[in-house]
Amino acid sequence: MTDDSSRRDALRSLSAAAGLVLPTGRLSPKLPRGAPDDRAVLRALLTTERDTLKTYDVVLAAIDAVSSTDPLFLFQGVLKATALHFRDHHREHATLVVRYLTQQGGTDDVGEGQAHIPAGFVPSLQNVIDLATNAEKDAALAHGEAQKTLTEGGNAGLASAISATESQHFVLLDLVARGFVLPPAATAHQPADALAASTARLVPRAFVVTQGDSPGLEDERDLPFHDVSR
Amino acid sequence: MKTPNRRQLLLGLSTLAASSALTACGDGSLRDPDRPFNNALDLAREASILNTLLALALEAVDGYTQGLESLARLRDDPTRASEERDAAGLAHDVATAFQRHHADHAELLTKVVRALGSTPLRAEDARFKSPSGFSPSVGNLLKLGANEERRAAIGFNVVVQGLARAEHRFIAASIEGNLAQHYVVLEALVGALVAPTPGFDPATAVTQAYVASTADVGGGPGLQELPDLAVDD
Repeated sequence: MTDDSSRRDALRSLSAAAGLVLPTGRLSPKLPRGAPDDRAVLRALLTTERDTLKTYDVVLAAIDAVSSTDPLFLFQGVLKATALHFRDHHREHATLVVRYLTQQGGTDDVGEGQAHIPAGFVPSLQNVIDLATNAEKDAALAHGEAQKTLTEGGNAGLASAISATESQHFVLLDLVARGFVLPPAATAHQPADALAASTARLVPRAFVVTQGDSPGLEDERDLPFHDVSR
Repeated sequence: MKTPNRRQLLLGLSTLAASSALTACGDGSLRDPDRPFNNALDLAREASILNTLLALALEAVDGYTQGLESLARLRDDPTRASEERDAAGLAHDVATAFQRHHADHAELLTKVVRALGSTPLRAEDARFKSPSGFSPSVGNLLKLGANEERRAAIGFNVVVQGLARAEHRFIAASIEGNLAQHYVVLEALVGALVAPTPGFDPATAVTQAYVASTADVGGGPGLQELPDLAVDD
């Protein structure tokens, strides 16, 4: 059986019709003022993002400082490129949460955040991967659990778009952490800046659907769906 | 009942989600997460959105069933190169695990629709239709899976904000995260962005069917059930 209808058109229509956040790259002009509860939740999510950013600062410092005797040293560059890419996503998340919060009458007063580093942390590359995996799990969960208390649909959509991205970060890091996969052999002994483009393909979007100026997975301009007819 | 295609499902979903969002936000007022529905129309609209999400989940189950048949044939075909057969076997095992997640999603969404007093869509009414010209090689089957998981994640995200009840938004979001995980794992395999090791276990590559646990609302465990990885060794 075949489906000759255009799935791409259907997705565009779905996004356009349902979106309070428009797929044209700007926020909904009529985002309602948030209830006090929603603003509290957004502040908590902002704290999560800032804490995750701080944790990534520690992760990146540890990667830079790792000894050449580390068993994963050959992947130092690709791990750094991945950490930089994921940290960029968290920066985008934090920026947009602040915008939502302030548009709804809230204030960005949560501070710079703090890294969550367990006592006894040993900064080997394996432990750095494990630390980032834990942080992404916590972040994905925080945004997922927020759905239980958010009251405004636009806020719920944002939290969902973020949680699903952090879930992607988590699952890839978790696969490496558990030894299920390794970075491609071609990335061994390569510097991070040489791997930025290829690493960006790992989780290609900071949000599942377009938020503000940040494209989502429905934006095919540089991320086409696969041709499965060849 | 005539089987709707995916375009019809998504278009119907968009209409329902949009009208629900307008109902909820038209005057700028906010919903109480636990507020009962104002009237039968609102309730029916909510059930319709959830039923359409159920259709997407059931379609995914059926799509994987069809894909698994193709992969099994490729895996067991002695005329094919061992490398291709091995790849088919790996893809088969990954698809089996992902299909189980979709079946879990369908089961939960069925319960939710039923709890609203509506009739859940049946599996026989949500069949997957391959795109025209589809060529079922191992690579194309993985690509098709990545395409469909990506579309499903987008679809769930788009309607989250149109659902009226917080519990339903929570369920949809928790499923969406799992679909996004499937997408990114398949994409990594398709693009050789990672290299599976001999220890790769497809059954547990994506460990949970939900991001946040939905056990309290009739679903299954989430990522909070996974202990933190040790960082002191």
